[in-house]
Formats: sequence, C-alpha cells, structure tokens
Amino acid sequence: MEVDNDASDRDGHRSTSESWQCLETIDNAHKRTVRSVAFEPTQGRALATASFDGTTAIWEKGPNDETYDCVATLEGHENEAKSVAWSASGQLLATCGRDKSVWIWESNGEGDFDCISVLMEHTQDVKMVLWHPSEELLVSFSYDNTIRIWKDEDDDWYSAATLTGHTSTVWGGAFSHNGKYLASVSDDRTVRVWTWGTTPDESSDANAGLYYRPGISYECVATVPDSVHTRAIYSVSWGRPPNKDAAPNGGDSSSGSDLGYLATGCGDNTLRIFKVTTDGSLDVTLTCTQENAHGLSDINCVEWNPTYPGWLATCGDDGTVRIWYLEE
Amino acid sequence: IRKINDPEHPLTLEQLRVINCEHITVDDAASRVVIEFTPTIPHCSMATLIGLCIRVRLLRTLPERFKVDIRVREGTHQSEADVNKQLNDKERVAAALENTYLLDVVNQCLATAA
Repeated sequence: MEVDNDASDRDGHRSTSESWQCLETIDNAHKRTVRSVAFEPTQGRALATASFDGTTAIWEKGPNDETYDCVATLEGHENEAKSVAWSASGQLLATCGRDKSVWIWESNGEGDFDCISVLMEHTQDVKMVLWHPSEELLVSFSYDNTIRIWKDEDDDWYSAATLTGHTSTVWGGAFSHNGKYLASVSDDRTVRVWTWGTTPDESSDANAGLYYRPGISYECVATVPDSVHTRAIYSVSWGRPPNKDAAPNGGDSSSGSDLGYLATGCGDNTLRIFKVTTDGSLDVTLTCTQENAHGLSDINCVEWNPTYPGWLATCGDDGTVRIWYLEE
Repeated sequence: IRKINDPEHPLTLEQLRVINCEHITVDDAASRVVIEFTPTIPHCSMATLIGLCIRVRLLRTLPERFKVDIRVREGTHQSEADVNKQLNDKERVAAALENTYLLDVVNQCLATAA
C-alpha cells in the first residue's frame, strides 16, 4: 500500500481509495487461509505469513526484483497456525496455533530459521502471539481464557506468568508504547489492562523445577466492563501519545501522564477509541465510537500506524481494509 | 433449518425435536438470531456437527447483517459449554469448513434442507 502524499500534512482529510494502490499480490502463497502477516520490523524487507495449512512462510524481495519470493517455509504446527510475530530485534519469530503450542524460531542469518523452542503449556488453541516492544519477552493469548508470558533464561524458554481473569477466549492484545502495560481483549466482551505486579512471584510454576527461573507477577489494573462492547472483541491496538514531548511515564508529574489511545475492533460492528491516562492509577475512557465502521460486519483487526500518530487501519468481514484518521 | 437431516438418523432435526420453534429467537431490528438446540441424548457425539450444520445453513441463507448465536439447550448435554464455545468461535468454524471431508458431511445433512 502506498500513500500518495505526506501523511503528516493530512489534516484529517478523508483519503479515498484512489490514493492507495495495491503494490503486490502473492497468489497461492499457502494451501489454506492466510491468517496472519507480519513485516520484519528493523528493515521491512522480509514478510512472514502464517496459514491454516500449518506452515509459516518467509518472503523477501530480491535486490533488483519487484516481486516477493518465498525464502523459507517453517513447518511444525500440527494444524492451523494462527499468528506470527517478529521480536523487536528481528532476530526471533514466534508462531502459534490450534495445536495449543507456541513456537519460537531464530534467524540463522541466511534467510532461514531454526526452531529453538516449542512451548506446550496452553490447554487450548492459541490465537495470537505478541512480542514486547523492546525486551525479548513474548505474550500468547488463548482459547483457554488465559494469557501467558514467556521469557528465556540462557536460551531456555519458559512460562514466566499466567494471566487469568478473562472468562472466555482471549483473542489478542497490545503493549503500550513504553512497554509497561499490556491490554487484552476477549470473547467475554471486556478489555483488560495488565502491568507488572508489585511483588516478585516466588510461587510461580517457573520455580518448581531444579533451576531458579524468575517468575513475574502481573496484575490487572483496569477493565473496560462487558457492558461497553456488545459482542466478542477481536482485536486491540495501542497507539502512542501523539505529543512526542509528553513524559512516557508518570513519574512525579502531578498532572498525570498520557499513555495514548486504545482502538478495539468488535463483533458488534463498532470501532471504539479509548484514551488511556495514568495519574497513579490507570484510567481507560471511551472517547470515540464509530458504529458500522465496516457496514453491518464484524471488525476483525485494528492497527495504529506506528509512525504517523492518529492513523488507524481496520479490516472487517465486509472484505475491506479501511484507513482512519483520529482528529483530536 | 427444520429440514436439516440428522447426521446419523434418516430424520430431520425438526422430526427428532432437536430444534423447535420455541427455542429460536429472531430480533430482526437488532439483526440477531439465537438458536438453542437439544441433542437427542446427553452425551451425543454429534452435537458439534449438528450445531455446525445449523450455522452453515444460516450462513448460506440469512442476510449477512445477522449475528447468529447457536447453543445447546441448557442442561441437555454433558459438554454443553465446550460445544457452545466451539460453535460460537468463528475462526474455529471457518477452519473446520476448510476441511473438505467435514464440509461433505455437512452438505449431506443440508441436502434436504433447501
């Protein structure tokens, strides 16, 4: 997709479909539904695609080529792969799927990937994997109603925490820009925001074996109640505060701190924007509602533009991708 | 959905009283449909398949605007929570319907429905 003029001049004017061009289509990339796609974050040259056919393909453009070639196929999932995500460094890749497992892959520097861990602690289908914005910490979201945090100790990956609280399938989540908070959304129609607990978790399963592995205790610090969204929430994205000069965390500021905006995509056809602030305690306030954002169809995915604040992409069961601009 | 065939018996879901009018709610203004079905026996292994047949039939016939919830009638199946969760997870349903064998079975049950 290409924007035909500088987004920062946009001033909130609506963009029409004529200004966006489809640059490339990769036909027959997979044998079944392509469920998740992710660009490599540091250079943006490689693209990973995860499919219901169980494989994850890595695509790259040749140096002079305009088209994407498949440079690697990661196999291992027993059935549908549902999500793929690159770590912030671009060195690690995570995938997950209906076989209840989370796989971690490492780039071997030659365009291919080695599987370095298969994590089998979820008890049901895993819907999404998400990396922390700066640390090598992975989060997974599952049909078993839990969220798991994964860390590694000397290249040995383990479950550092299990976040319980949702009462149905957790479809996904997003980190705040500063990486201190995690938002999650669920079939239970709630949005939950979590952060590190105040006490280290000495009792976690991670410490049950021979080796000490630091557990993390998480706590839920805010919940958007199930009266706000009227059907399952499929996606959440956390946009950073537009004012780059704003303090990233509260500190001693008496005026509190701006943590940006959460956008949610819901099965009730509505796109919702929440302003998140912290002044000691976290506050999540609904600020904008766009009903029938994709007509009379579920919204399946929302994603803030990482570079241009206020720009949001959504996709829905109406088969379209829409670009939005949030005017303050 | 009344003429959907039961996967195991040569009778329709209506004839078997798996589905009946009283347990169907339609809210046209809200574009919402709720269907509760009653498996023939509490440990019926076909419950998920029956629910899937109902969902496919409605996907193919109702206007797209409808949100459809399909549930096992409370107290009529030993794994009703598990069955309900699968039937109302649209990703699981979509993946299941990509299984050609399963789709054939569903289509056979639906052959008499139209």
